Amino acid sequence: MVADADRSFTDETYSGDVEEPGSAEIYRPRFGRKRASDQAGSSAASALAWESLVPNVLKLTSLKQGWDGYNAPAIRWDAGLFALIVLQQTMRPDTPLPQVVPSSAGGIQLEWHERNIDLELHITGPYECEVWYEDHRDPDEPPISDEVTNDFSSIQECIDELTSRGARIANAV
Amino acid sequence: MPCKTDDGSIADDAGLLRRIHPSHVVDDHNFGERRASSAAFKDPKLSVDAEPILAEDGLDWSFTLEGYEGYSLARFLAGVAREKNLSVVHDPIRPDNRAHTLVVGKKTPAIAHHLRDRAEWVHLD
Repeated sequence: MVADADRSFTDETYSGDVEEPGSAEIYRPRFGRKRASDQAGSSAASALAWESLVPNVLKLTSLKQGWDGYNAPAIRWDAGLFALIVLQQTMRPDTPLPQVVPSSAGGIQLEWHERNIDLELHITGPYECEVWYEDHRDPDEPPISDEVTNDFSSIQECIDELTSRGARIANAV
Repeated sequence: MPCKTDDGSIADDAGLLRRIHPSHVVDDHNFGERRASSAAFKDPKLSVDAEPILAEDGLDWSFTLEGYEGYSLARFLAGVAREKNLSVVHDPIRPDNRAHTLVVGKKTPAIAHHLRDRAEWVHLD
């Protein structure tokens, strides 16, 4: 399941559509064909974390129109698929799991509210993702709101900060 | 179908009630509380009930939750929506719900958070 999902999401389905970013030194390739070192290393480990969310996401994509008690559209299955791709590409092995909720606009929202960070990814379809990031340790800084299509670098920065902050807390203890 | 607009018939200080689906009550570990997800406020035509109209009909917030076991209920003011240039449009559903109202406009993350942050729990299941 891990190997199949990894191959279908990254190496075949999307590899021809998206150019690799130019700054390979600081940017891990996403959507494009992976380097051998990536395939053997972090991807396999992080898959364990995001894979546990597959049932939650699939369950949401079965929701029909009106699921929210009003007139919300059905949750798009391709929004669910893209949410899983985003998770697979950005989560680290020690990244905390997000809460996965349907959105009243027909998408899926991934939310983290911990480690003094609010991070939300609102996904309404393939390459349609809104990012909301707020750091409560720095209340003078306004929240960051961004729209993401195929470049996940801003999401990766947020996930990395969330993940590393947990490690710093653990080290402090 | 006529285009309905914000005619100001619902005052800025009117409470607007929004049912919150159980999946939209999330754990906020930063503040140790359960709160509504901003995902509950994303609908471009967000359905709510206007409290003053419920009151005119001798009803209260419990009317909005009738038949919706397990749901919670949030309240924000019409003026809070208008602060973000959203339209508050009275849209009665006859004969069932004369208080039905739409908060119309694109809900960017900032706007959805604005509504969520300014909302209060009326009932948390």
